[in-house]
Amino acid sequence: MTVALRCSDVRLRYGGVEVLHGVGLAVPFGAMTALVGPNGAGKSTLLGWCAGAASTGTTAGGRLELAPAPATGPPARRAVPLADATSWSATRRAASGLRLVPSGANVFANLTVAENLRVGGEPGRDDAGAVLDLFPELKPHLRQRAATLSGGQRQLLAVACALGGRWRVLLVDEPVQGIAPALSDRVYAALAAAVAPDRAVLVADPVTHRATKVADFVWRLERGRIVFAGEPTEVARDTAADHGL
Amino acid sequence: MSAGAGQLAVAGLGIGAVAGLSGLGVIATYRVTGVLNVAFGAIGMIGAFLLRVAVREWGLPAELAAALIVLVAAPLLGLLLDAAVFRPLQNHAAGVAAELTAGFGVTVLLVGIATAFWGPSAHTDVPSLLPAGSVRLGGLLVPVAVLVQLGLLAAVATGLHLSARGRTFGVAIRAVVDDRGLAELSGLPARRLGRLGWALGCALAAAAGMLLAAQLRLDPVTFTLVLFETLGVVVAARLVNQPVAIAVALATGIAQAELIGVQLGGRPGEVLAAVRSNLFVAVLLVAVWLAPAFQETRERASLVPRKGTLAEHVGGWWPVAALGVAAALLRPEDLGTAQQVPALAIVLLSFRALSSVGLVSLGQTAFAGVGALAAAWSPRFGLLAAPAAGAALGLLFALPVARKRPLHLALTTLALATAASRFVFEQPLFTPPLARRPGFLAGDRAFLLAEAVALALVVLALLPVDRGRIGRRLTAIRDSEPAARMLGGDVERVRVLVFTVAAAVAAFGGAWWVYAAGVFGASDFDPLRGLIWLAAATAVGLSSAPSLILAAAGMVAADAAIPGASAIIVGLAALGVPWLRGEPASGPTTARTGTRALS
Repeated sequence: MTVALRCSDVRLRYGGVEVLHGVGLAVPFGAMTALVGPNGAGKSTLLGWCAGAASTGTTAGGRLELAPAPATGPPARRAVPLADATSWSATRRAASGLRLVPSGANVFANLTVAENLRVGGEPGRDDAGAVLDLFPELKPHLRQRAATLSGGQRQLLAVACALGGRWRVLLVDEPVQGIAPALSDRVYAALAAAVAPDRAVLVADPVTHRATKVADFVWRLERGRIVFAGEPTEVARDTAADHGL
Repeated sequence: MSAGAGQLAVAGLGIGAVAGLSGLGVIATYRVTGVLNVAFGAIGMIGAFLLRVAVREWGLPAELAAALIVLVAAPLLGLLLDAAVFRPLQNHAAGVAAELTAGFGVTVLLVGIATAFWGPSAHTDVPSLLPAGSVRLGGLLVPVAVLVQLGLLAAVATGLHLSARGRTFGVAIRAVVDDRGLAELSGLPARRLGRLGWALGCALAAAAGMLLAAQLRLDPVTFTLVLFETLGVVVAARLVNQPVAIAVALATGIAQAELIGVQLGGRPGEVLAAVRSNLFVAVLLVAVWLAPAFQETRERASLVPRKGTLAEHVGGWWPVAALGVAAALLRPEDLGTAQQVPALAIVLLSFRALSSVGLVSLGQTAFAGVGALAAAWSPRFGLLAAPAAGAALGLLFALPVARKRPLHLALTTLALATAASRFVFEQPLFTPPLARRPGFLAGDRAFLLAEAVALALVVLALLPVDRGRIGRRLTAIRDSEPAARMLGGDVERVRVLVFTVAAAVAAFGGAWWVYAAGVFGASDFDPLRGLIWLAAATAVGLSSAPSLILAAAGMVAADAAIPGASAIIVGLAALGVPWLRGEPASGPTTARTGTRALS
């Protein structure tokens, strides 16, 4: 598989406290990758660092590499070196196809649902229709300000915006936070369906079994360190062993 | 409306249109950057000077020169400000104080440059860009110049409105305004829009300056302040609403012109004249009181003082002790200068109290000035009357805006300081000819010693702001108001109390200042000086009493060596001192992208 995103030796400190201790992981094209681990492990921090959402009060070090935008054809068939994106701004990373859906505060509250769906989309192309077919729950609210939606609806809108936008590597932090269990499976299914030979998805979720149901590869982060990397079936065994089961 | 009143209204429309243009420029910058460009007055002044030089000295046609300034020079200045000053501040999630003082730093720098190149004196030969002649409309003789100004305002407003309504560009702008961090993560060109906002804001400020300069005397300081006073129209528009800004600008212009037709004699006449010439200041004052909460386009860090250790407080008494020694050793001719140091230090200490709950005041001159007036009018009980008067004024102003965000409160204090300066401090009606000290402070050495003791008492009184139970409560409010409320704290009451205490401290300092000077000088309490004080206090990090006392000593010494030097030093510090560039705050008051919790 061709690597879409690779970060290595990521160290991040909040004030005097180091919260990521030399973390590294890779996300391949054509696969759905899961980053699991308990709350406080550093998953959101790592995703934010990858997307260039530099936190104030933090000092960071590490290297981020991204697959360059394909000139022609899917990148999976092209052996091109990764581009060093460590010094790129959040906007440049997003423009190159790296898109982060943060956990919470992830929609433009004062824009309508329809406007949110338009933001970040291909110029001149409207993907809102396709996304609304995936999540028809949003249709009645198209002219409503996002601030007036419920928490679950906002989360759904955030995922919908990302899926309808321009991206090659999609990082989604807690994609089903606040969403009713019945809808959670559809959200995960939609994310898995969005994976393509030239597209990669990484989801971060504290609930391991939820993410591993649809993931092709799993990274487990605990206390700022990667403690496991492997197939979803292996992580289940690994977790069970940890708990003495 | 009589023909005379109608004719006056027409004349007022011209001034109103210029104020509207400069207001639209400030709004254009604020909407896409979240930065209130308080340097727009100085940028307009530079635009006017460039026009004068290009036409009078280089012989360029006025229209060509104006086009070059508006389309090239001013936008380039805007891009420079974005890249060199405000973008780095935003990258550090700087707080309101850092941004406003940086804007002030730009103002000082531009005024300094203008003074260096073109001198401090006023010029009356700025070429007019507007055509002469009049047309008769509905029985009124309307100058073509006014029609052109109104047309320009309408064209700019329409352009801005349409661009904000566009299906792609307009939504992108509104998304950036709504949440800059998320916009960047979504791939929207937030930075490019920010640069555009700065370029446009500076172009409109320069245009307003060029249009206004032909009607006024052009000098670096006064002209900058006159343009700056139109900030009221922006505040009335809650910093974002263009139609309201235009309506308030035109209405104020008309009202100002109409007041020319009202003739009163004696004291009422003097008051009326003050109101007429400072009507935009009155609008600013009313606007900050009445305007609902501003729409802040991004979260900011609170002004967080660097915490001094207890040892620093205890071991840092040497500046106070040095003042006591100075009282005994200094030459008599130096005592007058030395006496300014403790007075100013007391005023600077008031910022320490404010920052303990994350408040910013641009108008401590108002409280210091009121304290000085109270002391001057009441020599026997001045040192008691001054803090009482300051506290009363502080309480009066803090109550209506206690729930407002820091930027709103900061602008309220600026409006208060400007209004107090124009309507009280500059009016002979309110200012005594001399400020006599109480009898026991008549000797200069005794006075300096007493000042040192007073300073020590203030330092002691403010020690609890970052220590013990009180310190923890204040820090909790500064770090997270919602969390402090959850713990049962009455946030508004504490903020009002702290604001009142800070006002009393500043007034106490003002009393010592006026006793040291022996006379009340309105220029000592000019609003610009309040910005210098804030910048100086911020530059030393608000860390401890000794550093604030040393800042006061440095400013007094600089001004004693070269009058006005402290403003330039502090202005440059506001731009360059690293810790002023938004010292990172900890906890949830940091920028939006910094609020992501670990999961």
